Amino acid sequence: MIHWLRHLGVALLVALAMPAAAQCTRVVFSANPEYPPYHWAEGNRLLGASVVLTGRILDELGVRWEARFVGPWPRVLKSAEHGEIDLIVSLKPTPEREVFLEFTRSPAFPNPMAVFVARARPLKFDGPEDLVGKRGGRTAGDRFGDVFDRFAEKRLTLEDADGLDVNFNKLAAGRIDYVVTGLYTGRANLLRSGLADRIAPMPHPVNEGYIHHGFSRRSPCASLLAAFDARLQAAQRNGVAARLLEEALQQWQRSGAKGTRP
Amino acid sequence: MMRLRPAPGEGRLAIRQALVGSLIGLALGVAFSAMKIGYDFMVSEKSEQKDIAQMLAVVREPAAQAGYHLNMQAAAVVVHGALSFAPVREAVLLNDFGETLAAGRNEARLGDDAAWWTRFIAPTQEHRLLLTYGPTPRKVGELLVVTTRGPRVERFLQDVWRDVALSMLGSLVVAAALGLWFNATLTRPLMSIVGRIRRGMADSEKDSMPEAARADEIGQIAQAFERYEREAHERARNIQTAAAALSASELRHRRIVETAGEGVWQVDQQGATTLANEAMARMLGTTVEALHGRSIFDFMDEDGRRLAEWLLGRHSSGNERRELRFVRADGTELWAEVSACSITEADGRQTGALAMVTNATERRRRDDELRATNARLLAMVGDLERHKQDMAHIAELNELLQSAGTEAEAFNVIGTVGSRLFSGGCGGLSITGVDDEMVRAGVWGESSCLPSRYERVDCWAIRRGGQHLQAPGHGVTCIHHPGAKFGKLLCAPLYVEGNLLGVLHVADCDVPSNDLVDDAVRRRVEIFGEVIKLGLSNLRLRDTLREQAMRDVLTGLPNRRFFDETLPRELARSLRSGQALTVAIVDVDRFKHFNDHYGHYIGDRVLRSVGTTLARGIRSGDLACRYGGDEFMCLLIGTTAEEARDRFVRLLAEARVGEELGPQAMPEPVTFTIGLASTDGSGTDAATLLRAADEALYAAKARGGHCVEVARAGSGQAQAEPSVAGAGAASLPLQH
Repeated sequence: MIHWLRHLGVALLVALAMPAAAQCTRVVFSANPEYPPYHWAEGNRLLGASVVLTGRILDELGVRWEARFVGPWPRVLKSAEHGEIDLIVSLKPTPEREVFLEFTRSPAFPNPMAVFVARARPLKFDGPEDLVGKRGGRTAGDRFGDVFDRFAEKRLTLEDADGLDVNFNKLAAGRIDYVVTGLYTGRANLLRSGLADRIAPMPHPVNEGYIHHGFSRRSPCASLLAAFDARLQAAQRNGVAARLLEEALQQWQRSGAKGTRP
Repeated sequence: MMRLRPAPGEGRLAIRQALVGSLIGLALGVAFSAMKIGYDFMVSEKSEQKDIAQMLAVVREPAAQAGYHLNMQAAAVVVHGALSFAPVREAVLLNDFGETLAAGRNEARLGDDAAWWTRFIAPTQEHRLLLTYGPTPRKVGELLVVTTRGPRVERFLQDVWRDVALSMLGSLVVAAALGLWFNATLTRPLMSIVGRIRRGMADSEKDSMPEAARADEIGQIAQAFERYEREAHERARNIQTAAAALSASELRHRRIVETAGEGVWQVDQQGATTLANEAMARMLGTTVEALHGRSIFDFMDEDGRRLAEWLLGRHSSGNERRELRFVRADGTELWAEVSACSITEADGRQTGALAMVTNATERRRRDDELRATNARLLAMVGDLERHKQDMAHIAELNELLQSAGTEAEAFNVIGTVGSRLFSGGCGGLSITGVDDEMVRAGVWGESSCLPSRYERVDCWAIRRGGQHLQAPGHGVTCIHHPGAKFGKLLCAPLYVEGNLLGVLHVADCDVPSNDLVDDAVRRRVEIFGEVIKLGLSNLRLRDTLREQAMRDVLTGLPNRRFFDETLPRELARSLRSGQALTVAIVDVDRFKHFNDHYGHYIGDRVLRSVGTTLARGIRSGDLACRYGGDEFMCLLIGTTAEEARDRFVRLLAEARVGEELGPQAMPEPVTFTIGLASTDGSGTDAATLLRAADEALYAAKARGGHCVEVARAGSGQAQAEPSVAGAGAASLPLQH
C-alpha cells in the first residue's frame, strides 16, 4: 500500500514538474567577473556589454532574468555545469565547455586578438612574420587560435606572465616589444592602468575571434537558444554589439575613476 | 592425652580465604585498572582531538580559498599540509558541488587496521570541516580528514601491560599475607577446638579449653562447644538410663505377653504372623513356633477373612472390638473376641495390626444356653399370661352361663367366649339332638366350619369317647370335617354322668398346618368344655326344677303357681297393648261321682283327659293349667269374652273327653262347665277377673253345667246376677 502510494507520489511530482522543466520562465545568467568590457563584477553586481545585450534580448523575449555574481570564473563554469545557472554569457566555445554548455551559433560579441606595442617604439605588423625576432609577452594560458599558436610556438618568443597588468608594465618598461591579447580586454586594462597614452593596439588583428553565449545543458532555458541566435545575429548585423562594447569601455573607465572596483 | 595429628584438611580454610581475598583484590585491581585505562584513554583521545582541531583551524582558510576558487593546486597544497600532521592518514578536499578538489593518504599507517585492538576500538576517526567563504559566509566545500589511532593506542597499551603486571603482583602479595594471617587467627584456634572434639569426653571434664577464654567469635565457639559437650554428656547418661529402663520394661512386657491368659497376635499388613504368645497358639491348637510366619487367614473361613481384611485395612488408630470365628488347626471352631489396633510407623505408614484375642467359645455356648432358657421362660410367661387370660374368659363364661336364662342365651355366650379363647380360628358347639343327631348350637368364626347338624357316628370323638385331633397327615378325618380349608380340627366330646351333652369343635386356621395343636389349646378346650358342661347342666337342672315346680304332675299342665305368676304379667301386657284378655274357669261336672263311683284311678283319668281336651281346644299362645281339684284355668290372650264363649261352646259341642284313650276309656261321658270373665267386660285386676269368672261358673253350674257362662259386663262383684245366662245359644246345656 505504502509502496503503491510512493509510486503515485513520484508520478504526481513528475507530472507537475514536467511543464516547469520544459518551460523557462526566468533566466539566471552569469559571466567571468573579470572580463571587461564584456562584463565585470562590481561588488556582487555584474556589469558590462554582455549584461546589457542579454538583458535586452530577454526583455524582448518577455522572460524575466537575473545577472548573478557567483564567484570566480571557475566557479561560474562549475555552476553552469551543475545547472545552478541557466546561461553563461560571452565566452569562447571549447570542446571541454561543449560538454555542459550549448553555445549559440551566432557570436555574441567579436573578440579579436591584437598586438599591443609601446607608442614610443612603434612596430610594423602586417602578419605574424613581422613579430619574428621580437620579444613578446602573453598571459599564461591564453590561446590565440591554432594557426597563430603553432606559429608562435615555432618562430616567436613569447614570455608568459601571471596577468595582463604585468605584461603591459613590462611593455611600458621596454622589457618586451609587444603583448598579444584580446583587443577589447587589452584596451579596458589600459584604460584603468593609465597606460593608454603609452601603449596602443596595432590596427591589424592577429585573428578575428568571437565569443558566444552558452546555455547550461541542464537548464530548461536552453530552449531559448534559437531565439537568442536570431537576436544576436541581428545585434551583430546592426552594430549594436560593437556600440555596446564601446559604451562598456567608457563605463569601465568611469567606474574605475570612481574607484568602485573591489 | 592423645597427640593431635595434623588433619588432612588443615590449612585449607586459610588457603581458601587467602585465595578468595586475592581473587577479590585481583578483581578489584582489574576493575580499577580498567577504570584508569578508560580514563587515560579518554584523556589521550581528548588531547588528540585538540591537536586535530588546531590543525584544522590552521588549514581552514587556505582550504576555503581553494574551495572558493575551485583551485586544485591550492587544494593539493592544503591536503599535503594536512597529511604532514602525524596521525592523519587520509585527507580529502571537496568543493561545494561534491567534487574532489584534492585527495591524499598516508600509506604508512594502513597496517593498523589489522591490529588486534581494532576489535575493541575503531582504528580510525573521521573529522569533517565545513568550509565557508566571503563576508556573508557561504559554503564552498568540505575538508575530510581521517586520523588513525594506531600510534597512540600502541603507546597506551605498553603502559597498560605494566599496570596489570603490577596489579597481579600486588594481589599475590596480598593473598600470601592474608593466608598467613587467616592461618594464625582462624585455622589454628579452630583446629585446636577440632582436636578437643576428636579427643572426646574423657579429658574434657578436667580442663577447660584455652580458646574459651578468648573474647572473640572463636571464644564463643569454644564456649558453645563446651556447653554442648556438657549437655551431650548429660543426654548420653539420660539415654543410658532410659535404655536400661526400656530394656527392663520390654522384658516385663514380654513376660506379660508370654504368660498372658489372653492371646496376643501381631500380624503384618499381609496378615502374616510376626508375634504370637503361648495362649494364642494354644487357642488355635498349634505352637508358637508353628504359628510364626503363618497367615492369619489360614485360620479363618470366608466371612472371617472379610472381617479380618477390613480390620487390617483400617487406618484408624483406635481400638476395634469384634467377635471372630477361627478354624483351629484340628478343624474345630473357635470363637474369639478380638480387640485390634493398627500399628503405624512414625511416617504414618501402616505396617500391620496388633490384636488381643480372648477365647469366647465357652462364653458363646453359655450365652446360647442362656438365650434358650430365656426363650423358654418367655414362652412360659406367655403361656401363663395366656392361661390367665383364658381363665378370665372362662370365669366370664361361667358367670354368663350362670346368668343365662335359656339354652339359646347360653349358646350365644358360648359362641362369643369361644371366639375370644380361640381368636383367629373358628369352631362351635354341637349338642345332642333327638334321634342320634348332633345339632349346631353355638358357633364362632366362620360358620362353615361346622355343619348345622350331623349324625353322631360322623364324629370320631364321639366314637372314641375322647378328644380327636384331625390335621393333614394326622388322625382320621371326621365326616363333618368342613374341608381342607381348615387345617386342623379338634373335636372334644362333652359327657355328663356318662351321657353325651355335645361336642366342642375347635378349628385353627392360623397355626401352620404341620404344627399339631399344642397342649395349651387342648387344655383350653378341656376347661372350656368343662365349663360348658357345668353351665348347660346347671341350666337344664334349673329348667327341670322350674318345670317341676310349675307343672301339675297328673295332667302335665302348668299348675296354679304358674297361673298365678302368669296372670298379672299377661294382664299388664293386655293393658299396654289394649288387647282383650279372657279368663276361663273350667270345672268337671260330677267329678266326685266319678271318683267315688269308679275309684281314684278313673278320677285321675278324667282329670288327665279334660286337661288334654282343654289343651287341644285353645291356641298355642293361650294357657291352660290345673288350678286345683277338678278345676282348670284357661287364659285366652287377645280374645274377647264373646270370642271365648264361641270357642268353648264349640269345644263343648265337638270334643269328647277321653276320646284319645279309646271309646271305652270312660265309663260314662265326662263333661265340664266354663265360666268366663274378660278384661273388656269384667275389670282389669286379677282378683276381680277371677271372681267374675268364678261367679259366671257358679251361674253355669246353677244352670245344670256343661255350658258356658260369661260374667256380666261391668260387674265387679257379679256373683248375684246370673247375668246373661240366657243370652245366646252358648248358655244352652249341651248333652252328649
